[in-house]
Amino acid sequence: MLNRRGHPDQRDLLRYYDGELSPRRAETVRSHVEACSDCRSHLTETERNLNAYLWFRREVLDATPAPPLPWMDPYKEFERVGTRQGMFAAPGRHTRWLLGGAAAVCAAAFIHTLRPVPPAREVHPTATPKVSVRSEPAPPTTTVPRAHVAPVRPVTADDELRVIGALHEIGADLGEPVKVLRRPDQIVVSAIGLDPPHAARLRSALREMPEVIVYLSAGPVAARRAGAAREVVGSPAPPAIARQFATPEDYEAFVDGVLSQTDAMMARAHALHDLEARFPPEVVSSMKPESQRFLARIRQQHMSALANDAAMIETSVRPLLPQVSAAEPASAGSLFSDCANVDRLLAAVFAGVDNAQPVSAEENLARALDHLKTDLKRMDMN
Amino acid sequence: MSCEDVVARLFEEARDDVYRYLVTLGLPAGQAQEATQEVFLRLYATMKRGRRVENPRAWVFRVAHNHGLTVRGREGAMRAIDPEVHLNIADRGGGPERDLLEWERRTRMAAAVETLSPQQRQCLHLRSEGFRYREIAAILGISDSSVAEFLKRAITRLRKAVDA
Repeated sequence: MLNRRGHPDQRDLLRYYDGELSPRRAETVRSHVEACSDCRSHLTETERNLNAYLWFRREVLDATPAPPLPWMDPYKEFERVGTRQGMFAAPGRHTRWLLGGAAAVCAAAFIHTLRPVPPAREVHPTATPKVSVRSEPAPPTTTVPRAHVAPVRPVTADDELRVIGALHEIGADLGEPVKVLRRPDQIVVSAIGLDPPHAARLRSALREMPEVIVYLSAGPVAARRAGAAREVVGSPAPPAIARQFATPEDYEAFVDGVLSQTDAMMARAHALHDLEARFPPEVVSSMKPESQRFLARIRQQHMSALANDAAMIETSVRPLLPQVSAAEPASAGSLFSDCANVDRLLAAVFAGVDNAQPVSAEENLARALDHLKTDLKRMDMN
Repeated sequence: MSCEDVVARLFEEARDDVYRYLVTLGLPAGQAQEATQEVFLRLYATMKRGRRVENPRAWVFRVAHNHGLTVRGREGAMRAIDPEVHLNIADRGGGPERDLLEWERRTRMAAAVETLSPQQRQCLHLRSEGFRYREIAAILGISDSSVAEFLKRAITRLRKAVDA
């Protein structure tokens, strides 16, 4: 229960905070906490983080669409339960239409409530000035930037690709909190919390693109995927895979290395996924030939890097996994789901999730790696 | 209190919580509402058959969780709740400066929550619904110790957003 420095581990402190320890263990922790300012600080911080999550959750849940129909009268439905053939049966055709229509109305109403984002920046004392790469003066303060500026020409998928390509050149399409939105008359590039050098590179990369407007909001970078803390070890009952290492420190270093490789792979997978969504075949076919070649080149670069990351993960992890039968012929699955599967299973293996599944997470991970390798080979051949 | 009254009362108290949980699992509003109602009717049918349900609220969430995952798996690429829903929350009338600060705070939290694994998110969500660890474990089909571990890691990740 105590770690090497004589403190309760974080998991027990959380259990203590939540009243989940047995009375005897709770008393032990309480005595320690009363005498230990470090642990008291940790508990205060835990409370602060949990309260922040509760606030966020309440905000988000308040924004979820309301049920599209009035709730049932339970007493009326109870009478019918005895005669029903099965629960969770698919809704009848009429119900489905009714629900679909109501959901559409609900969604439309929800979308109607959307506020333009980001809010006017000049009221924020620390906001980085909004950068418009147009040479014309900045528009007056408004929550709908440039609403009065007449479009020069419709913005096309080729323009969007040029922006994506520019971001790709500076690596801003990998895990950066940069969003690109194509509107009929402009492309909006927005980001929160880029540090000054990154922000400067971003502005510079987009400077020659008159159809682009850039919004950068100050503030420290939130936990982005590539940099997110992914501490893994520390469980009192170490996962099975940890037993293959001489010391906990060796295991921790191994896990850190693999997870950073996984983050790199997932960043590539997200970038490819984003390209697929932005430029589906029907859009690509309408693009200029040079744009099509440019898009193919960006994809190829992501694909090569992803294959490289996957190979490194394979080399690191495979020796620790059980032998499994050869992968079944891979279905035409998506590379993104393959990568996400590996990412998820690695987290499960490193967490030592003790589920009662007939197949262990290690075996599933071995198969997921097989699947990923097979799909990568197939795509390489194509 | 009759079986009907027990379930009807729980339906009044918990239907919105179950509905929102299903929406956060990725079910569209219509399906989430229908599934919510079906879950309570299933509870009624179970109790009517004489089966003892120790903790009806946890039971309802467990069945809803399993059903949500089944539907999501069956319908493949069903989109989870809009990950940018936090961007669309209307202001609270606290003035533009306060709105902007809250918008940034939400955005940071959303980015942090997005980095959590599904299990971490579900554990946090169910904890904030007031469930004990053993109840969360039963709902998600994992052990108590895994619940504590998922929560601990989730909180560690959220810390970066809170400290930012």
